Amino acid sequence: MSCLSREESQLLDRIKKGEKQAWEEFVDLYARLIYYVIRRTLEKRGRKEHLREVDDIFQAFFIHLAEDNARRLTSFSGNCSLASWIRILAINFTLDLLKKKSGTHLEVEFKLTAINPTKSPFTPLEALEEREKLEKLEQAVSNLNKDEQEFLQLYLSGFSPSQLAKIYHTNPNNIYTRYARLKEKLKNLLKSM
Amino acid sequence: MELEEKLKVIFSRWKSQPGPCPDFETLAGFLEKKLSPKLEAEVRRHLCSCSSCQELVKLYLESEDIFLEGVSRRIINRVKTLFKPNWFQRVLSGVREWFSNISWTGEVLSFQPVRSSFSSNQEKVFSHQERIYPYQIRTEVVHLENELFQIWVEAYNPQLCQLSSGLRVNLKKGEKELESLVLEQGRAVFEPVPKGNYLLEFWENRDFLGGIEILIKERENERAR
Repeated sequence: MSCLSREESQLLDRIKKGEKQAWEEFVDLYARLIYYVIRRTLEKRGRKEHLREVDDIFQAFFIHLAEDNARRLTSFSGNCSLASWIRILAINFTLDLLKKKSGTHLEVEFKLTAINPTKSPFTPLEALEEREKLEKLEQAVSNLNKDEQEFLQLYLSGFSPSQLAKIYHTNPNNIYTRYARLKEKLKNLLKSM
Repeated sequence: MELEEKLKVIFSRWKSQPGPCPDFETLAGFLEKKLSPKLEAEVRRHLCSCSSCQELVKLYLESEDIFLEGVSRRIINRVKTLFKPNWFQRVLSGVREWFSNISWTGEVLSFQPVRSSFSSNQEKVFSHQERIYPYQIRTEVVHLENELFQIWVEAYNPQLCQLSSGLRVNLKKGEKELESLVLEQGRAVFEPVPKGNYLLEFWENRDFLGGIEILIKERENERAR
């Protein structure tokens, strides 16, 4: 079922037919949202000092949307709200542009090259025990079901509990509780091994 | 090691190459709870292993408290003039519409590669953590505007729960020592360097603790959008 309202759907149809007035209405409707999202993305990416870039990126984004008879815009099929889709597009566009501005595409590899063995934290026996503990924990984690493993992975990948709550369509308290329960479950699994 | 640290190690071992990213409509539909349970689970599974989508979702969620602000009328008027449809495209859009009307319109959401696998912040700052006993060493390589890179080092002593001063860090390129710094308040920042292969050596008094090799290079096989 389409998430587009009748007005939005008609607006996109009119743009598709090449009606300039419809494009202007679209700009009036979404300009402020797009501007805000671009500015927020720059702020979050630590580019506060580059806020004058907002105007440039804003215009570049509309050029991107208007290209080829607004093909990108009119390709929207209504599987989410138009505003959310535009927000994601604007964030991704800003990130892409920042990447291009940063020049060549680079990567950095880090490698631990040497450790003084006399400075090792563990004796060989302790190191073995530590490895065994990790293996046991790994086995316990593999005994969790797929949903639980995914939850733990997302929890540990830097999402805040309130963000996770939105990903799981629940409230943050449930996220805290679920994490605490999973830790408890892991402890019990470890005890039973 | 704390439980969370151990779990991170385990999941990093398990981490598989993420499949193609969901398209933007699917991702937005996921955040709005508009997907079928099956597709929702598929997107969540993808999110676990794809740092690029994780970043997009985080930024989306961080821009939720929307505060709409005024945009200069001059810019609005300018972007209003950007749409220049031509007759050929109008006819083409009519033909496209006709074809789209006769095609099957079941569940059309699909997973397609829509963006590169690397995100902009990863382009700008590259960071790494390593345990060189007894310190937790955090190394950052910051890409400056002029094709130079600044290497930052931070040493934290988890036993004392504090940043550690007094540690000496040598930055070497091959056999040549470029700079030797003593950490102050746990941190040191080296002079900018160009791309290349570098070695950081960590010394405490006269004891060599360990080394971290840093290779700054052009990425191969950039994933096309």
